[in-house]
Amino acid sequence: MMRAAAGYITGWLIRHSAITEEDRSLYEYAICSLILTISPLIIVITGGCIMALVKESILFILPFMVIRKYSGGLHLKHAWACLLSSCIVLCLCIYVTARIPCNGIVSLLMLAAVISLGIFSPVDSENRQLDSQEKKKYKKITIWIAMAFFAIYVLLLLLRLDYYAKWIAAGLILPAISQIPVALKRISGKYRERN
Amino acid sequence: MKQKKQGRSFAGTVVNLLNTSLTVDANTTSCAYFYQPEAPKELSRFKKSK
Repeated sequence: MMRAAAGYITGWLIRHSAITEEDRSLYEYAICSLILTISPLIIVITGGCIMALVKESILFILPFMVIRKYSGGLHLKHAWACLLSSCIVLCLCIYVTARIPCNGIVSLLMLAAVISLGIFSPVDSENRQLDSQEKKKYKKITIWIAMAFFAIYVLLLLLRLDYYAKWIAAGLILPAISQIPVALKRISGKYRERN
Repeated sequence: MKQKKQGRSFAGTVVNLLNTSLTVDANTTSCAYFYQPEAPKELSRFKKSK
């Protein structure tokens, strides 16, 4: 459905001479990518509206989206599986975060997430592979962004705004968790190559 | 005629939006979502450092 929409919009852009036929695949990709970038925001805001946690959902999804853009992570093979799993994971995260207190365990998980993101990032996908220069660059950017969100988290704790701090923490912990299956797969692959 | 002009102007705005999306995509690791569509070779045109 997403590809059909992308094809239709691209055709309309070609008919209006805004792009050329040679760029069709590029702009179809751009439309799919734009839809996939906006989707988590729509899912989370909708979920937040249902659970009466709109403000909190936005606080959660912003660090998630920014970090994941640079850190990469688990990507599924089919768009429909991705949509279904994303809806479940993101809404479950909002539900769980709303029910846990912001304690030492959350702070420890947050610290572990920053370290894990620093070690494993970036995790590229088969459909968009990075060269070594890009990997170095995005690793640095991920570390800086993760540290910036960690600083915001600490600042919120110092200001006794624990309730908001935990949402930032959740937004950082989720992309770190989503990297773990891919990172483990790569580590086991390297281990097998050596033996 | 006026409608055609408006259509062209709107198409231009859409292309600008898509070019921004392509620039962001070319200079980041992946989509924020759990699915990454196959990136075309032409995406490298939008990279800031070549």
